[in-house]
Amino acid sequence: MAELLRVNNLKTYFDRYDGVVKAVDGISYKLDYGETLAIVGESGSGKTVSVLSLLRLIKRNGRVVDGEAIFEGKDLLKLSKEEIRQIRGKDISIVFQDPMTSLNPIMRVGMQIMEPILWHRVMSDKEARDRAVELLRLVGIPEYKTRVWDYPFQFSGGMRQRVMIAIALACNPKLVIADEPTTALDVTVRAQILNLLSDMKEEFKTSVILITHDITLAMNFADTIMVMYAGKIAEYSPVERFIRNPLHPYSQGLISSTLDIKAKEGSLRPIPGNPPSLVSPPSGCRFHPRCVYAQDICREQEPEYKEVEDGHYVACHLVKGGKFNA
Amino acid sequence: MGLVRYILRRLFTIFVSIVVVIIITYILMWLAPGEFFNIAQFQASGGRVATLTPEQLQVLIKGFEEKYGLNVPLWKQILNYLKDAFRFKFGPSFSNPNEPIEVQIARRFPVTFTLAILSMALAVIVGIPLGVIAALKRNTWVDYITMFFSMAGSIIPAYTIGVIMVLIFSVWLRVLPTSGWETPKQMIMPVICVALGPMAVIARFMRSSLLDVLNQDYIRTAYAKGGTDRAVIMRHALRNSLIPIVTIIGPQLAFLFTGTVWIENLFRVPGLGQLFVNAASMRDYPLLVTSTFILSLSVMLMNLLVDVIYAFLDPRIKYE
Repeated sequence: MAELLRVNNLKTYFDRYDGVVKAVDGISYKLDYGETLAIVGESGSGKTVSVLSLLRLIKRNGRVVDGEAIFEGKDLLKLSKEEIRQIRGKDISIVFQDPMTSLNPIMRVGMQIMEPILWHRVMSDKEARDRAVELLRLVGIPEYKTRVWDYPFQFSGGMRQRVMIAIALACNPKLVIADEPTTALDVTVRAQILNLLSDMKEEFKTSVILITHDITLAMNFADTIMVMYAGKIAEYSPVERFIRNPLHPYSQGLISSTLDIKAKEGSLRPIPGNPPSLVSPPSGCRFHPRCVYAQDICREQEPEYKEVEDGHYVACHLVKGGKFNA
Repeated sequence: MGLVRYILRRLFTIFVSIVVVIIITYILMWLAPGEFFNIAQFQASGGRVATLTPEQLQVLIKGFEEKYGLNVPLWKQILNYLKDAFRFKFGPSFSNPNEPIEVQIARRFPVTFTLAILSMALAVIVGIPLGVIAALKRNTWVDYITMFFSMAGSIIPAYTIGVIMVLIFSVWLRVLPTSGWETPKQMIMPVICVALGPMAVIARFMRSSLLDVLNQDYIRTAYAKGGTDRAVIMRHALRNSLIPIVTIIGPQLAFLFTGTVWIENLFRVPGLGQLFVNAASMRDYPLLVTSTFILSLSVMLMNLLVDVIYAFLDPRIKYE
């Protein structure tokens, strides 16, 4: 498959009163046309920042200090303000985490769906109007013909997220970034939104980057899994291989810390401790203070991020010859 | 439908509130030391001790109390006043017995009204853009200078600025007249002086309101959809940040209707302010209580107006 996006050594830092937060500290990965990549990690691991950096949507105190992000031959990080604007919402769009706050409360949803179409001059006013109605139908809003002129407060959380998805799809983007699209929703509607995302991915033939902290969801939904820890990639692997053979102790921890209804009692093992400070991260491997297998080398030397098998990358001293040896 | 019923219900609340305000005002006036008769008599005699005998004085006061209905118990005075007040009949004042208060007010109200409206218009037209610029250029020298003047504008009393303006524009430059209210030229300085306070308040509110909105998630969404700065600010940020500004403009305007006292005095503007200040210092009870009546009525009606405007600005608000 052809390559849509390649990120090399991306570093995004935030200036804070107590120092520089290295939220994303040198990550590299690629994404093909039509591929679904899931970025998994705890809160603060740099998942969201790593993708917002691509569209240069990070807050004012943040800056991309190094790296490149080649999207269809153009480096997103070096484009002018106007050039990156032309990509936002047209080639790359985002579905944000909280549909309750991500829609303008005093603008009709139809207008909010039409905006990217009109801003990118994809079609005329009249056509954009019809397109908005059509998109609402596609994302499964009942009575979409009248609902299109309602306000966000007249929609439930799940319905609003459907509207967000409609907005993201408005210009037939090549890449949709879904930033924890179901985290803020009721458990009962999460599956519906995920199915919708899956269907839309087929329908629009887009690539998807799904950001989530739910490893089970990622394994069900994605083609490729990327596990992030403290601003770095711990492991990157095609999903079948990852399910069969997760190599990084952190990946293993994530899997064994999820609830499985069929599992035996006592098999739920949370990862001890908390994610480290990104102002002064731990020496060596950033995961070593929480790693049950940590050895001297882990404390002293930063592990190399290397390919162990075809397309399977991991950053751990204890992985040798494609196997985890503790 | 809902809106009309809502307004009617609010009008009833306003009626009740005003009754309470008037009762409190009457009680305060009754508790306050000093009375009209001594002050008026003292002034009438040009500061000399009255030449009337105590008996003559008693007769005079009795006649006065009968004329103004002060010879009945306090609760009855209040009831009598309220009965007429809601029909805008306030009776004569102590200091001007030949002219009913409503006529005095009617003559002066248009002046104060014009002054207040012009000033508020100026305050809004200048204050909102200032706040917007300060917010968009936050933490730059543009922001600091704007906010410095805004702070100064709300701290320095309007009459101080008025005196300085008179000194500069009338005495030194001789371009503007010092007082009066007939020609547009005469209106310039009073309007600017009255506008400065609300302008400063509006600018600071606008700044914080816009900054707040710019941090909202839906602004990030708008940028993520490919909006230019201009489109995002004009279409998403401004309208949302204007909603809270309406809240402060309403009451500010109501206070301007009666609160331009010092400026009216300074520039000899024949408005309500002068009338009401004299009422307080002269213990002119009918006029004093009427000024309270007018002030509270206009504040409450303005608040009602603001709430109705809200319904048009913000679709989430529905009045039941």
